[in-house]
Parts: sequence; C-alpha cells; structure tokens
Amino acid sequence: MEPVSIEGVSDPELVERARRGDDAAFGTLVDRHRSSVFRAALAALGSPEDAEEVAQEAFVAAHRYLRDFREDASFKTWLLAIAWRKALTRRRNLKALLRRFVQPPEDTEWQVADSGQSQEQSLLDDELRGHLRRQIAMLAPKLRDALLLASAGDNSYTDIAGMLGIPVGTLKWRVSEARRQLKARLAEVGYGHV
Amino acid sequence: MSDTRRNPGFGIRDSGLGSRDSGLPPSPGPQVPGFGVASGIQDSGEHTPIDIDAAIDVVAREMTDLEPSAAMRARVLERIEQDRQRPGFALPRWAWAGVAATMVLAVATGLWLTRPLAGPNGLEGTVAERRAPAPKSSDRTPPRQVAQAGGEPGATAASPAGRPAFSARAQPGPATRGAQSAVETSAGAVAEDDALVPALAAIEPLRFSVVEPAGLHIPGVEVAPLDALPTIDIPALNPGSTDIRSADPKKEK
Repeated sequence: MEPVSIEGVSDPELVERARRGDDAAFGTLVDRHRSSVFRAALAALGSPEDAEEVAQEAFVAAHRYLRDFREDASFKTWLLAIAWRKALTRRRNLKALLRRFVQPPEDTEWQVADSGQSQEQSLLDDELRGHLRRQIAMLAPKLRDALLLASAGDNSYTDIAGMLGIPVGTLKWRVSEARRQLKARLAEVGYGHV
Repeated sequence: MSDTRRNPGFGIRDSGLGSRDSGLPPSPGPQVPGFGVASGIQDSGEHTPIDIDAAIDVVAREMTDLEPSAAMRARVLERIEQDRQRPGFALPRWAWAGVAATMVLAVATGLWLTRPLAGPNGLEGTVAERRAPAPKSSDRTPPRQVAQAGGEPGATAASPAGRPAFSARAQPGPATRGAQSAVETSAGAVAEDDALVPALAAIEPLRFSVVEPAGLHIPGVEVAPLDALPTIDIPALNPGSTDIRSADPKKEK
C-alpha cells in the first residue's frame, strides 16, 4: 500500500496532479523524498554539496520526464534510480576523480557532522571509527555503495536493488561481502573476531 | 514503503541483514554490553572483543547521516520554473558534443571526397599521371623504321629525336622493367592506378623491317655477315584499353 502523506495524499495521486501542472503537488513529493534522494547521492559521492546538487538535478529531471513514468514501480524507486544515475555520472567526472586523489578520503569524502551523536555513538572508540571509515572508503565501489545504502536505513532492499539495477540477492551478497572484508581488515589490526 | 528505521544507537539497532527481508543470518548483536567502551587495548596489547557488525553499521550510517537543505523544495521548483521559461528547443549538453563531432566528420569527409577531383590545373588528376607524365602528342612518331645501331641485335633503337623509340611502359627492357616492377609491386598502388588511370591513347602499329646488318671489313679483322632477323610486328592497342601494363597476360607472370 502506498504511503500516505501528512496531507493524506498518496504518491500516485501527487504524481497525477503534478502531471497536470500542479507544482505544489510536486513540491510535496520533493519534501517527502528529499532525504532519501540526498542520502543516496551522498552514499555515492561523499560530498554533501555534490549530493545536494545531484538531488536537485534528480528532482528536476523527474519533473521533466514525469509523463514517461510508468507506474510499474513506485515513484520513490523511479526517483532514486534517476538520482543514482546522476550521482554515478558525477562520480565519474574528472573533478571528482581529482578530488579523490588530491585529498585523503577519510577526511573529506564523507563529511560527517560530529555534533548530535547519541550517547552510544560517543562511546565508540575514535580509533575504531577512524579505521572503519578508512576501510569503508577503500572498499570497492560496488561493495561500498551497497553497504552505505543499506546502512542508511532510508530504503528497503527492494528499493535499493531497483535503484542499483541489480537483483535483491546480489545486493545482499554485496552487503555481506563488504562486512566480511571490513571485519577481516579490522582483525588484522586487532579488532574483534572474524 | 521503507521497512527500516534510523536508529542512532548501534547497541539497540540490529546490525542489518537479518533484521530486514534479507534472509541472511542476523548479525550477532552486541556481545559486550557497552561495546564501544570495551574497544580499548588490553594489557596484552590486543583489542577487546567488540561487535564489529554493529560498529560497521554505526559508522556506515554516520557516513550518510546528513540532512539535505531545507530549501531544496524551493530550489527545485525554481529550477523547474527556469526550465519552463527556457525558449525553444534545447538539446541536452551531451547532445551538443555529438552534433559537433558529426559536423567535423562531415566536413572532413567532404574535403576528402573532393580532393582527387580537383587537379592542379582544374583537370582530373590521377596518380599515374603524376608518377609518369604521358608523352606529348607532338612526341609521337609515325611508323618508323628502326635504324641500325651499331649492328648489335636487341639494342634499343633510338628515335630520330634521340628519345627511346619505345616508352618504358610499352616495351620495357630488363632494366626499366625492374624499376617499373619496383614501383608497381605494391598492390595498393596498382589498384589505385587501375582505378584512376584513364584510357590510353591509341598507339599506332609498329613495324620493324628486316634487319640485315652489312658486313664490316676491318683490316685484319673479318666479321661474317649476321643472319637475317625475322620481322617483328607489334599490333595496335585499342584506344579504349585501360591496361597500362601489357596485353599479354603471360608476360605479367
């Protein structure tokens, strides 16, 4: 069943209204899905500025091609697929490549705010956190993407698999493989049991 | 519908796979209460056991744990409005690269196609003409008698103008044939010549009369008269022939 917004209007109905030129309806769709789209882009790009830009581009593209949207998938899945393609395109461009080589990935790729951590989070050892962040950044892109998207908690495995264009089973394998590799690398420096 | 939840506490939230619809075995969960605290180094130099799965989950979530700008809705609607106000048909940026490449290709192809049609004098130029200019019509000689040249059989007869009576193409001698073959052994060059060389001009029939070298009488030296050489007939070439090498296929071999 489609989620119902606080206005009591479902996604398909908002899409239909937006197709008829109702910008307010499309604005509601933006508000409803902007976090998911932004975090998906952030998982691919690591830079909040780039992720914000890609998210906006994805919404504009979705509005432009709204008439082509066939409702065999949910609007959210379709939108995430657009955002993911745009994020990958941006990731491949020269600027992103240069930035990856010029700056250490662990400090700049994922600019995570330090404030607002829960008590449990603050307990996590900074050293372990640093190790993990570096190792996650060094994972193969396919494994890292799957792990970050799954861990973000915004989307179901079905949504993520649809976004990546892979079967759900493949997505699960990638997440599992990413965890296995991380644990193996952490075990080399004395963390945990593998 | 999203079936997961954002839970900042890694000790509370299941670490992932098994908690959803994955079918994979669930992660072991916290093994040590307050495992984050226990991640220090023990006296033995080893880190204490911690829930790596949960730690991975926490750090991975932190890496995407940001909120987008609250003004995203306004910015998106503004960009949509700008899209509407953009006049006329607009190609996407990537399409312009294709258009430019197509234009360059078309210009290059056009130049390449027109290049052989415009010769140096506005006439149709050919590779063969550039390699071996055809003799002028004034150089052609009427049917001629081959003069005796020193009485040596097989010697190349000279024309009255002092030029060889036979062009290298019409009747190459061993030396000129070798040089010519060096030029023409390239299959590509031969094919190019065949394609571009126009029909040869008519060559009048040649007739070599009987050669009967007279005897020489040198005091003290007696040279006997040579035997008579047979008559040599060279047939006329057809004006429409495009064969620049030889009409006799056996000679080609």
